[in-house]
Amino acid sequence: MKRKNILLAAVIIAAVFGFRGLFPDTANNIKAAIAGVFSRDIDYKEVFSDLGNAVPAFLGREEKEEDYTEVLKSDESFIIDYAQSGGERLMSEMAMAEGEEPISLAELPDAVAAFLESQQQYADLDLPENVSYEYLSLPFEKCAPVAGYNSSGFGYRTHPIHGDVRFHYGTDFAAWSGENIYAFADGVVTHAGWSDSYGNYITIEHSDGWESLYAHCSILYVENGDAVCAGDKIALVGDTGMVTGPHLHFELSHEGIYTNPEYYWG
Amino acid sequence: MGRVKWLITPAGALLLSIGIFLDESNLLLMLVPAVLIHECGHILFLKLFGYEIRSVGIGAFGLEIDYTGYLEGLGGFASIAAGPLFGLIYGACCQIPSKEFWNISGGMSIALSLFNLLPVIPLDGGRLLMLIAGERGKCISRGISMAIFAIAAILSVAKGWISLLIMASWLLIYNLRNI
Repeated sequence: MKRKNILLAAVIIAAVFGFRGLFPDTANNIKAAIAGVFSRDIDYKEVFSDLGNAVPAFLGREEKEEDYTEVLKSDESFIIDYAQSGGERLMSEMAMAEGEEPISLAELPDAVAAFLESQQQYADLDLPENVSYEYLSLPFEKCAPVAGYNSSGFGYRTHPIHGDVRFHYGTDFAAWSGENIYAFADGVVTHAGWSDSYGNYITIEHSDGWESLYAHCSILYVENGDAVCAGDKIALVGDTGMVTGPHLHFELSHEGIYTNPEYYWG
Repeated sequence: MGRVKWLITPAGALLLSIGIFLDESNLLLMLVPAVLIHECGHILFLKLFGYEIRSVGIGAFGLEIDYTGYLEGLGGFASIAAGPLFGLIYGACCQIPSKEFWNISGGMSIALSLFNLLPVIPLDGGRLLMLIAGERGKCISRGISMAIFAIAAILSVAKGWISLLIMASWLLIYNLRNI
């Protein structure tokens, strides 16, 4: 092969990566724009995964179980006890804080009432230890982190095909790959990096012990220690980590106890 | 595997760099074993049937094997079919460990193999078509590539499936350049 061709090839490779190194922001924007175009029609990662999962069926065996590990891996303690609690009702657990009178369903904000009603079918199950269905009002201004719709909610969920019940520690918001993700409220970034299950993710610490988490991002715009305001662009939607489609997995916790993000937005 | 020269053209380098640049889900990394296994299938059987391999290059339209001789008979058929066949076997084996990386890599390999079996020159399917139908294969293959393009164009307008149109265009250009 001609030396000239090899040289030209090397120059092109160097140019593309040099551009990325010198102008990372522009490069990232271009990348997000192009990725957005491609993900708008067909979710290729999911197509390939489905093709792979169809192999056992094609060979005459049972089709492979869809990968639901995104739900499992959203928290370390993903082993759920199905201990019979003797009929402990979710509503009274929420309302009986410090000996108060039980709040009737009619007094709660709409989102809370709707959620509690949807979880009634799991009333026999204990809540995981670090979870609460209590509605606490936020002590700060908030902003919707992404323009997307709730594709998978917080709480117990029944697998649509296999029927097993698992707990989801956050809310999934389906959105196009490359959509902006904004900080939920003012705070400080306590983590911005990678995990095998969350992919590229960010955690932000807000005031009064509140913390939010944004997972499966494609690109992160903040670093550990950055101060952010509600509405600041912190990342772009992606499908990194243990997922098959682009979405924002959003978690909200107060002093280490997971709460339902849909109470405040959804 | 003997002495096989691996090359890269400037166009191939550009495509590869853009691919790496755009890829954030490691899809490209998952593609590598799939492509390698596919090409090894071709190379293995080409050598088995006495064809000489001069080089393997990454060009503007993908990996291309430069071999001496004319593909015909059982040897030709086997050498062409071996690529997609190896790819499908790899794709099936990938599902054994329950890992996301291999699951998707296997899926990509299956997609690659099935795509290559399209009867469009110079895809593997197109070459098989030529083996079976001779010169008429050229017309048939041209017709099919145009039909695919037309369908993709309609779908892209109706449903907004742009990436399908891009692939169909690539296929049409690839076909027109090689007849």
